[in-house]
Amino acid sequence: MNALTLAVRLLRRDLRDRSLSILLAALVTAVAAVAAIGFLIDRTGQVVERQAGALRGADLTVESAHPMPEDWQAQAAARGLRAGESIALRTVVFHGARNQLVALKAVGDRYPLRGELRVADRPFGRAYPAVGAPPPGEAWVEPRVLFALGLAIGDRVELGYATVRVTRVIVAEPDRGADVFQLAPRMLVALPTLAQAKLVTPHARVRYRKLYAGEPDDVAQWRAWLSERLAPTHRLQGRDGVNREFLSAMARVEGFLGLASLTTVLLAAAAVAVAVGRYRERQIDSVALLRAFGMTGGGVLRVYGWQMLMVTLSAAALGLALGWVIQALLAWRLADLFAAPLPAPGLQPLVAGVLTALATMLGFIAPGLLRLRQTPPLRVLRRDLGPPRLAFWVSGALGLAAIAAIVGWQAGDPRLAAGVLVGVAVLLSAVLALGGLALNLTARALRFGPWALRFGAGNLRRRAGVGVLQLAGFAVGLLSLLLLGLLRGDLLAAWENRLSQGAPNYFLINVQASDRAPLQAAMADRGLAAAQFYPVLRGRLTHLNGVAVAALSFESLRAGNFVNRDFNLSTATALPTGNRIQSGQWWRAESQQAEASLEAGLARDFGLSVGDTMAFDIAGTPLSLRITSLRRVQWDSMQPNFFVLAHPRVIPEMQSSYLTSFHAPAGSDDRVAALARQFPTVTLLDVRAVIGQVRTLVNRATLAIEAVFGLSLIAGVIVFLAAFEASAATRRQEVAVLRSFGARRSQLLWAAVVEWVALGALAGVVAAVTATAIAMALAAQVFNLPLSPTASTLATGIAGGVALAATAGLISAWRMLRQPPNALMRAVD
Amino acid sequence: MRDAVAVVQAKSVSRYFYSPDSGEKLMILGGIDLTIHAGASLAIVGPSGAGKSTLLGLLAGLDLPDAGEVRLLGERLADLDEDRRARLRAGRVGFVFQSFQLLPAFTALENVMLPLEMTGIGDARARAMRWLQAVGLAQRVHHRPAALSGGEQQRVALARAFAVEPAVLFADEPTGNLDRRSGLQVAEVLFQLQRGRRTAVILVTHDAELAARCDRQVRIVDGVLAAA
Repeated sequence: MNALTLAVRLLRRDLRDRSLSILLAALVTAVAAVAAIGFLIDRTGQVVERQAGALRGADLTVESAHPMPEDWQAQAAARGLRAGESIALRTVVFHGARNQLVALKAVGDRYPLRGELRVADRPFGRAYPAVGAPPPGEAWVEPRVLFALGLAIGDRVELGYATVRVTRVIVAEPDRGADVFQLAPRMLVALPTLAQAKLVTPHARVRYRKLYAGEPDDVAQWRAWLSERLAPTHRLQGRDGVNREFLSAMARVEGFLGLASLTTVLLAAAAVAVAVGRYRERQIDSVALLRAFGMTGGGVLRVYGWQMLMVTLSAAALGLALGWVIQALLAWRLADLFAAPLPAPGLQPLVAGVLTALATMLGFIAPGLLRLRQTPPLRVLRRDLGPPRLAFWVSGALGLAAIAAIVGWQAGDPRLAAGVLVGVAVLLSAVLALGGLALNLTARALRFGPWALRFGAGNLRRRAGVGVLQLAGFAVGLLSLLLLGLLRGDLLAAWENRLSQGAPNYFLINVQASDRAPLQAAMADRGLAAAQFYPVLRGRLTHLNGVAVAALSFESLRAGNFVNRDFNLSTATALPTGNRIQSGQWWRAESQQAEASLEAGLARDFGLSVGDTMAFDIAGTPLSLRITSLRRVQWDSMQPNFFVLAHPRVIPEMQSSYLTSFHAPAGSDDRVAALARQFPTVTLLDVRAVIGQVRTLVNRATLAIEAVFGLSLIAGVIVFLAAFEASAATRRQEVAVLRSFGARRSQLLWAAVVEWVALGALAGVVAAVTATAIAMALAAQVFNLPLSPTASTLATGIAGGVALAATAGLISAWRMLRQPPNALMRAVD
Repeated sequence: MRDAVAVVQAKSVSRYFYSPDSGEKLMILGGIDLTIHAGASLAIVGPSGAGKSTLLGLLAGLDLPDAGEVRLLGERLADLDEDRRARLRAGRVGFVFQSFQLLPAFTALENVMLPLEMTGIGDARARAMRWLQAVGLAQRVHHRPAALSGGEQQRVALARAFAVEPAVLFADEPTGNLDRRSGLQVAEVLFQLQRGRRTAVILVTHDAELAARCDRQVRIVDGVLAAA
């Protein structure tokens, strides 16, 4: 019989053994989690890419102060992309005796390539999506233009050398994004109309923009092609350019899903690590027989090599199938959240699934099984003989290496991987180093009371070897579940708070100082409560640490972009909600210094830290600020947020406008419209669409997170089963002997409960402490959420450990106790 | 027959095996009648598969017969549930097994202390030490089973069985896993303790020499008692 046939036969027989089933189940769960999340992130990622595009009007844009090469459009078309363009400048339009500065934008027929331009037939009328640019000779405007010029729909205005008729009102523009602070209201015309107006002169400040959209691969190739041809004055923007709110929420979702799949893999690895010892134990007798019958060490190696390959491949196949089903169910449930059907997933998750199975096999199972070839044939006569054992640290190191490989590869964010890995390594070291001692001390502490209690406690000491392994398995299991629980609860709660019914859905921008008090009064009259008024200063960054920015070059594209545009600065006395100090200190109210607080991400882009200085030009007035703190900002908080905050002391002499936000309940459109009419110079920004998008994302993410959490829970149960299996044989013998000596069922149940409760509680303490530490680190570093340790985490950890361990322990003890002592005795004999 | 009190009585005891495939009823034991008195020793002998160990399990109350009646220490076992049968055994019945059944994580001393502690007999440690001394293992009390030879393990098992000073001791092939020399040693200790404590002993064995040392022998062939 060749090695393969024998391997198949042995494997089929082994399937009756629970330790192999546990190994398989653990591998399948790990692969399923990795695959399901991989598929889902892949598919939703493509949609998110589109949605981000919708907020920019395109998948990719290039902006410049000068016309860009004409052949780019043809090149793009040749690559299967749709291309469009726009030209923007500020100009003054006239209507009779009145004039108004407008932000003019001329667009091509295909505008916008992504997203929707929403218009209405009258101010605050019913909005509907517009198709293409305004017809030549027509202009679409924001309501402010109508109010300022006293226009009605259908009236004509003079635009340079052209006269245009105002035919529609702009409600929402997909690519307004970063320009919300511009003072001038929007006027939209077709490109030929702009040519007719002859406004593009050598001295005009014109922004040219090219827009591209297409399939993700085509866009990526196009981006690469463009990158090689961009001049320093060209500004390329992809997914990273806009809508920080949405992207920030999305990054958090992806981070969390990554963490969830990671912990599932970790749990499965723990289950495999615990179960493999017993599986190997059971193989030793088979190998000894084969060896006694004349099989060589090489033959044993071949048989087990085949077995491992078959186990890995079948686990990978089952796991991938399961992962596919899970993501398909999720996608089906999510279908109504997307306008278009989700695109088909790529192949990468398949590879990820197979590699997960392979890494787990190589790290945890293979090292022990390969040593089986050294089983002495004499084992058939002397039960005490066996193959040499792997040193504990060798198997530990191999296992950790396997986890590290999977984790490092799976977690998109290296901080996530590092956080989890370091946490698990610390936990395992602590358990391995101190677990035995802890079990001994617990056993000692419980030396009193009835026999069942003492016996159960004594087992902790007597079985300390396998006990430490079980403790480690339990602790990793609980750690993962607690970690997910902590972050999941916190993540969802934080979102719900932010996106609660009262979250601001309108922003009021460009509020002049003289308008502030009347606006507040008018809002109060209409029952619209403004949150807080933030002063806004527009300024150009001129110097960093005394060096002119023109002389500096930045690696970061974003830093370069910031140098070329106006900054919005604001002031605050107290640290705004949703902001957290990362380094330095928030200023005291009485401070006399020109202090500034900088957003941490931008500080990184500029290479700035606490103590550095930034100088701005505010409408001709220089302003120098010393950075005294770096802040982390929750961009998806839907609150006004600023890159640069200054101490209020620096502003009074400066001229600033104000910004505020408010929540308009449903059905208050008329009140909002009246407010806009009363203050025509104030820009009203409707962010309901963005909130809607983030809310959609959160709903979608919640479901996905719950699904993955469910998988983690399954993996957690497998860990516990594996742990019980590890000591099942000795337990069975114990129960058989004790019952023949007259032990009552209740005594044995109590003994089991005491032992498992103690193990569960110990694991709970270790897991709760580690989970809190990791969760705090991840919350701060990756998810940017405040998380403070609570006693309830510890309590949950202990209670969870006790409940899970005691329940599962009771179930397994009960199974043994149901059999008559004679049957049990035969089973162990 | 040393004392007139019956510690174990079997009346027309039968046990069947129902084949899971065909549902066919196979007789393992049929109509066994047996009485053992306090302080007496009985050997159950017979070929492999004759039903000896099954009978031992039934007499000890580890299992119940399909027909007939077993009385252990005066109690009708069929009237007792599993836990009451356990209570009946606790502290009054000892066991010795062919494969010793010492708990591997326990030291010799802890193995002997186990039934003493379980039944709440005071001074468990000192008693266990005395019993280990009595079986000649005073120097090995802190060793675990894996560090002991087969003969030594079975002597620990004997100490464990006698430690509660049971009224009756059941032994299933107590020398079956031992070489002749160790077997003789174990048998010597067994009967020495049995005589000293006036414990009734019921043992199943293939070993004619061991069987011959008992007061009485019964032979089972194909599930029924044959003349010894």
